[in-house]
Amino acid sequence: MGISRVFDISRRSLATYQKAIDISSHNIANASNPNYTRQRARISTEIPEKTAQFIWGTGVKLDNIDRVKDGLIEAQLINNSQSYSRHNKESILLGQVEQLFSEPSNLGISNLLTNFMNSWNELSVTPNSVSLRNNVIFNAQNLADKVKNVNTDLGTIKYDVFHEFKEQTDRVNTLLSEINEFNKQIFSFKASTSSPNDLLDERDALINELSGMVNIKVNYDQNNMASVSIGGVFAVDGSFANTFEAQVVNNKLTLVSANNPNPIDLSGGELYSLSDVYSNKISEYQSGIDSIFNKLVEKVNALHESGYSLNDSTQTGIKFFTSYSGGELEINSSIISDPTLISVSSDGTSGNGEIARQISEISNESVLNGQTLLENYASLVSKIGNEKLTNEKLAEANKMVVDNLEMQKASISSVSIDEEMTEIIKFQRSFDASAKLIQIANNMLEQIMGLI
Amino acid sequence: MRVSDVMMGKSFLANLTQMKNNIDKVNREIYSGSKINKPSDSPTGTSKLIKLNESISQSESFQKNVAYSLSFMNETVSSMEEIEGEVGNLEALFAEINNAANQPYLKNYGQKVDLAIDSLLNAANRSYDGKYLFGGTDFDSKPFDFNADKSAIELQVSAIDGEHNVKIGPSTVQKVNISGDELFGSIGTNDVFNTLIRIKDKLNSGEVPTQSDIDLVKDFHSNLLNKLSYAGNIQSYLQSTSEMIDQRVLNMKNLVSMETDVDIAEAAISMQNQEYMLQVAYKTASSILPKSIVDYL
Repeated sequence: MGISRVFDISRRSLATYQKAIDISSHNIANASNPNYTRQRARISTEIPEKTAQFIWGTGVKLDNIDRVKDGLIEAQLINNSQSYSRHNKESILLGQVEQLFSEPSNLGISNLLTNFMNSWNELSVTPNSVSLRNNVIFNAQNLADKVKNVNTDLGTIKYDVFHEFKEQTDRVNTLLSEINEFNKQIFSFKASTSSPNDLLDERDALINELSGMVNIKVNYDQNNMASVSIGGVFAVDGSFANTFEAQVVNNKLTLVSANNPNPIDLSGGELYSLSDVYSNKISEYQSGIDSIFNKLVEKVNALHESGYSLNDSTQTGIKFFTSYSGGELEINSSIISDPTLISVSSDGTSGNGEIARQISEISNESVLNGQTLLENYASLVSKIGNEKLTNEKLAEANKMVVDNLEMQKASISSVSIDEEMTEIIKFQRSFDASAKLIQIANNMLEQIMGLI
Repeated sequence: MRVSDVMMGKSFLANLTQMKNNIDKVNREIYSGSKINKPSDSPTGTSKLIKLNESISQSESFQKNVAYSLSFMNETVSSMEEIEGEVGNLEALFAEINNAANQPYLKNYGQKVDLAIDSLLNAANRSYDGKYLFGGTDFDSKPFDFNADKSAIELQVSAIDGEHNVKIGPSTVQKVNISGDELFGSIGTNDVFNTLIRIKDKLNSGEVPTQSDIDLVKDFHSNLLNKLSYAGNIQSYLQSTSEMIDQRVLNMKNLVSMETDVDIAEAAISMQNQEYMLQVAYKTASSILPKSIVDYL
């Protein structure tokens, strides 16, 4: 046994604790990095030596740099992020849709439709009044403008949703390509005894972002390579990154893989919500409005055509609305220029307002789906509100789960400055002691040298 | 549980966001005065509101109809009362004629009857807001007038039997006019105008009118009184309908208020509470978040 052994042990110790301090410094530097997973120095005793029938300890060594994380929480987080993003996005989009209807207020279709029907009722009392006839036209124009605006705005939202879907699809492709690159880099460290922790963090951040956009499944192999599938279709692994494109198939907006023409089964993430709002919700709302106004046009015109106008020729067979198509309610232009053509007399006399009274009664008749027109409209608005509220509540519930999981993840994987500083003090003490040991060994050696 | 620095920040931010959302919600309720500002605030409430607002608006429209019809009926009754006054005077005048002492003055009575005919004709042709009260549904020209040689009164329109049916409730339609046909019967020979012309002609020629003509006037008077009573019933019905609509609108507005109105006192207390919680959160965060062991090393 020589004094030089003390030097060896101390030297190893100094190097080990310096590396441990480096790891803590790295942790502290990344304390505010949301994607960072804290690292731990795994310190163990160096392999002992057998000399002169004794087994001698040879000091300390740095075994590995561990990445502290819980894979189960990560998997749950990916699942719940898909669900949260889906409901949150749908709630935002439906929030935009419900605002278009301006309900409940005086500016909504409900009030304008009621005003229109009431104007017929008032005209029935004084059918020869041109000002009341103008009032009918004015209310019809207000109603037509609002219906057109709602339909146009729904179309604009649909257009915007389609473009957002395309942009998100591009982002999905970019993420897949980046994940593929990271997989390759991670694989290149396969031979190393230590894992490339910071690269793994970067790749996990990309996978997390992807999980918010679309429903994915992630598997990891023994080399830490992530294999991702979207809706059951292969998306990326270490050797290849698939690409996807946005397509409208059978009026449904969906993702299609570059090497497989079948639509992807979307079930989560923002892309699902965008597809659902584009393919189902907006079409359903537009169809609801269309059926109400088609029925209104049919009922008003049927009665109006049976009436006689006020002008000298007492014409009959005049349509009040020319048509309702493409979300536009068109009023007969002849009536707009000559209100006396409004045909409300059932016998041709100027004081007969029977037809106007009958038209006003449409508002109390169950003419569509066993309900009045306004009840149909109220059901539609209530449905939109309900769907928005349900998604909002589900998003809140999912957010609570996601927050909880993120807290658990942070509890395990995030940096605590207090903890790191305490570790540094601990390592610093060990480093100081090792340096002191070298000094002591040096003194011992000097003592011996002084004897010579 | 291990508490990292990120957790402290996240936890603080999550709670802060929740508190600010609550404050924003209460704030919106206070300044809009309504709990329902968009369908998702209360989908069933929105549906109820749409229907209630329609009912209120419809009732207000019915109320307008009732008010207009009442004015029309008031004018009708006023004209009928004027006619009734004239006819009552004529009956008294016919009683005087039967007195032998008045026989020399028959021509003077003829002049009085002539004036009464003008007065009746005037009342029968009265209009309200462009509508002839007794012209049925034909508003194009006045319903009654003399013929060219002024020997008889004729109809100036094709018919005077049209009914003004007005919607005054979701399922209630009320007739709000007394048609010329109902009041004066068929215009031609035995109507009150032409009967009075015959009486006038007799008086002017120094003859006593026939009993059958006087009976026709009496019959008209009797029918007129019946129709006045009928018109009074319509007025009374419209009046009570108007009160019912007012009550209905009031009830529905109460329902709307229950559905939407914010309890300002409760909202203000809730707001104060939330603001207090926010201040506590800021204060706590300001003392805890920036601290770490580094401050004490």
